Amino acid sequence: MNSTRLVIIVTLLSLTAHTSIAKDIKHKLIAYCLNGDSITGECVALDKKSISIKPSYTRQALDLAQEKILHVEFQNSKFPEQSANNHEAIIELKDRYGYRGHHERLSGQVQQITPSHLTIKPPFSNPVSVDRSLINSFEIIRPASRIYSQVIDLDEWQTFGDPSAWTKTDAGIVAQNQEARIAKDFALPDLVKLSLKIDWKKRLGVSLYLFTDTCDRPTPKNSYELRLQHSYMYMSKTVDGVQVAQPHRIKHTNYSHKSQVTQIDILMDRKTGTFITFLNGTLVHTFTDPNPSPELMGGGIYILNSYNEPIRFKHLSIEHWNGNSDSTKKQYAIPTSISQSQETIQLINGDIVPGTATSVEDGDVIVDTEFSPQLRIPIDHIYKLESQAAPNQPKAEQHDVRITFSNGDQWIVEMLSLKNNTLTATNKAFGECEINLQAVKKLEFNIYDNQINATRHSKNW
Amino acid sequence: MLALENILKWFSCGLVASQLAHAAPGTSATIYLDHNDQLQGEVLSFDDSQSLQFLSPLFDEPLQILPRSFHSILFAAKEQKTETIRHRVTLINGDRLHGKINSIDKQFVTLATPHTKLLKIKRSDISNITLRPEKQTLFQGPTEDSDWHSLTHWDFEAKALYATQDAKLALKLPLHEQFDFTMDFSWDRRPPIMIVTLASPSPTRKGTDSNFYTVHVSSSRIQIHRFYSDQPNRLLDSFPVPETKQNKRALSVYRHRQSNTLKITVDGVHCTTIIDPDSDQVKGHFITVQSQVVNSAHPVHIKRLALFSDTNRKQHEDLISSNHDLILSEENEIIHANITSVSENGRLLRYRKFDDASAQSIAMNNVQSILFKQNNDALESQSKYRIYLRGTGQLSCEKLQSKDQHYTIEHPLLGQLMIATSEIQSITALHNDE
Repeated sequence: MNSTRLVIIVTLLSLTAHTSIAKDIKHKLIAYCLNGDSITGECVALDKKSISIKPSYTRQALDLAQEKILHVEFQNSKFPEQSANNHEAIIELKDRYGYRGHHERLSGQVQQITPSHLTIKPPFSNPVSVDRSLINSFEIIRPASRIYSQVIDLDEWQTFGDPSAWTKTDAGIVAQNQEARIAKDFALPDLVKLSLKIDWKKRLGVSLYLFTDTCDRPTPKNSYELRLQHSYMYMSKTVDGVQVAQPHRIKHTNYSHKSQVTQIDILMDRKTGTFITFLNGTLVHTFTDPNPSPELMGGGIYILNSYNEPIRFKHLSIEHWNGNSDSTKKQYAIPTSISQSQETIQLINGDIVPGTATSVEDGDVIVDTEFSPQLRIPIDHIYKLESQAAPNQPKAEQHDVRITFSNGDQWIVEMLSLKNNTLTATNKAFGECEINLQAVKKLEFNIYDNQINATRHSKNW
Repeated sequence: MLALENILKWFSCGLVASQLAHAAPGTSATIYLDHNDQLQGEVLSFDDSQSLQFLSPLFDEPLQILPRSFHSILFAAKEQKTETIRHRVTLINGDRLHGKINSIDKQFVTLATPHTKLLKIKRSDISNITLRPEKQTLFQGPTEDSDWHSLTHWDFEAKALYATQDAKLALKLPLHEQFDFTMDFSWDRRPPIMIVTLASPSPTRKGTDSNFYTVHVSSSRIQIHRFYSDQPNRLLDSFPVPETKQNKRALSVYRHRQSNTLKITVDGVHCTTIIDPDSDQVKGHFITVQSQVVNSAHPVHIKRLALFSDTNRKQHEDLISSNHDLILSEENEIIHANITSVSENGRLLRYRKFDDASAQSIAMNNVQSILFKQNNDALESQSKYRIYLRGTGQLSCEKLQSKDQHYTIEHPLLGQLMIATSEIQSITALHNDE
């Protein structure tokens, strides 16, 4: 009898403790207001129109209307990283009607695919079923092959020259002038694929020092330099601080200088001194060092701005590369006949399968093709899924808030409520969702107001 | 008795008295709080024993801010021109007042504040009186023989530096508690970007691992950044400046560490006063100027570079005696004396020489400073707040209460004082660690 009572009491106590722990999670945030004020405090409540904050210095909690907030930064402890699965899907949603270029990004594990919806499980929310007609792109990443993949965090990099030359933004880092250069030692392996998105306002002048032996001096001693300048690309090699021979110059790079944005992908082989460069998905040049010296080279990367004009460096991704350049070329050059298909599945070996993904079974995507209605493709063998769905675009709503998560994902939602640790919100592409607030890094408000957006970004972006 | 005499001494002009009858609106101010938070709005009322009522345009209801949970309150008001005749009275607790010495007798000094009301201060509460507060020149240039720490890509021309490419200079100077940095520069066609680093511990600004300020001057905007040793840098202020057609610009930065203020003046116009709550961490000795020119066709010229500091107070402290007063003449003569009075017209300082007790006098115009004998031990400050007055005066106090556009304070030496809010530049809450 007594032991039964004891068990009940212990159970009740543990339940009470568990409940109180759940309730005690405090979300410290800093709210930056449109008039320049800032308020630090605990997030007490959230809804469609306001956010309630209790600072340590006031007697009352403050109900701050969303229309007066620029953004809110959460000071959450680091959200626990999920154990690596065999794949991670990255979905980019179509931009909001009237607001071109701003795509929401979701990542997570694919749970199901139907002709109309794609269900993924993000690490910080319940599974969400995304309307496929609102998907802009869908990619699969294999975590095992990733070396570095994120918006560049300056704190992790060595900075040289004028420290005020750099500005952090959510979409990347802005190098304001020629003084701006950063370096990081990634201990790169011999075979690497590097991808970086660059945009500029006036002139493009960027140097990437690759396979550098040092990262603790303004200029590396031994390295390869890839320089993009106007419509030219230069490739050169430095040994013991001296440039070896004249830089190799390539004309007509594959970006429109007017578009002021380019995606650069470089396949790098330290042993052979080979650098295969793609600009905006098209192979522009293959450079092979006539006298490779892998023993002198290291595993670091430098990024430099060559002009006194601002340049933005966006998401940097470094992955292991299998050394197979032929297949990669295919990935970037899709035959016209295939790209005309309603939906295509690009595989990691460069093959492209025209067909429609209809479901997921036991880790395989079932594809309905012209030749087989049940073609099974392991999900981690898929590189990209491209579909030409009927034109559809999510609508921009007055109370839309952009959420940036700790992993860099960005969703646009209407916030409904906050209970304990869970933020309930609704999104145009996947409806109502429950978000773990611990994973939220930033909330941006008034996101469709051009004047406000001008203050949100640095003077150049 | 003294306390009674000091009770309700009006520190403000008669205008305040007429305002008392009406319920006054709040006073525009910026309040600096914990976590580098700041709010603009109006101070409605402040009672040290209850709360500070602050009306922010962000909220409908006034905020009830807990007393002493704020760092500083910076009142918004136009900078006033300082008076021409200003004597500076430094009290034994370090507080300072400015005004005109009206009389000195054996017990008291009477000081007319800029706002006409007289303040009678016990002589034993005064550490020193500076009749001609002067600025000490720490650097005046540019000249070839100036004491440069480094000069990169600058060339000398007649009374100026010029550069046709990106250039940098560094000065290593004993930057005091307060200093005034001035730089006049011009350009030939397109304006350069000038980046001034203040109080940096190193001339190279390697990385962001130290505490300093940068003032970034472009053709149309000025930005003031604070760099920290342990956190990301922060934009303290950013404001537009009108583009000049005369191809020249004058920048002046006044820094007062104790009050945590930076004042920026551009082309002779006061643009902003900033409070940096962590100002005490910024104590490097380097000032650097980095110039970024468009190209060699657009050279930049620095025509004036100067750094001034307050007069050396430490020198006074070293001289203080417990037996007699000291008079420092303009010719740096030190007279050991017992001061008896100031003549009625305020022109003569009468004293008896300490060695032979002979009666003497000296023209007040010829006196630089007066140091009264000190018998008191250093006053232990229990103050909770420090009030920085417009100009450079400061008062500490234990209690603070606002009502109808004026503050009533309890000063440890002067008793209760009433100060018009318009005379206050800022209020800083002193915490136990200070």
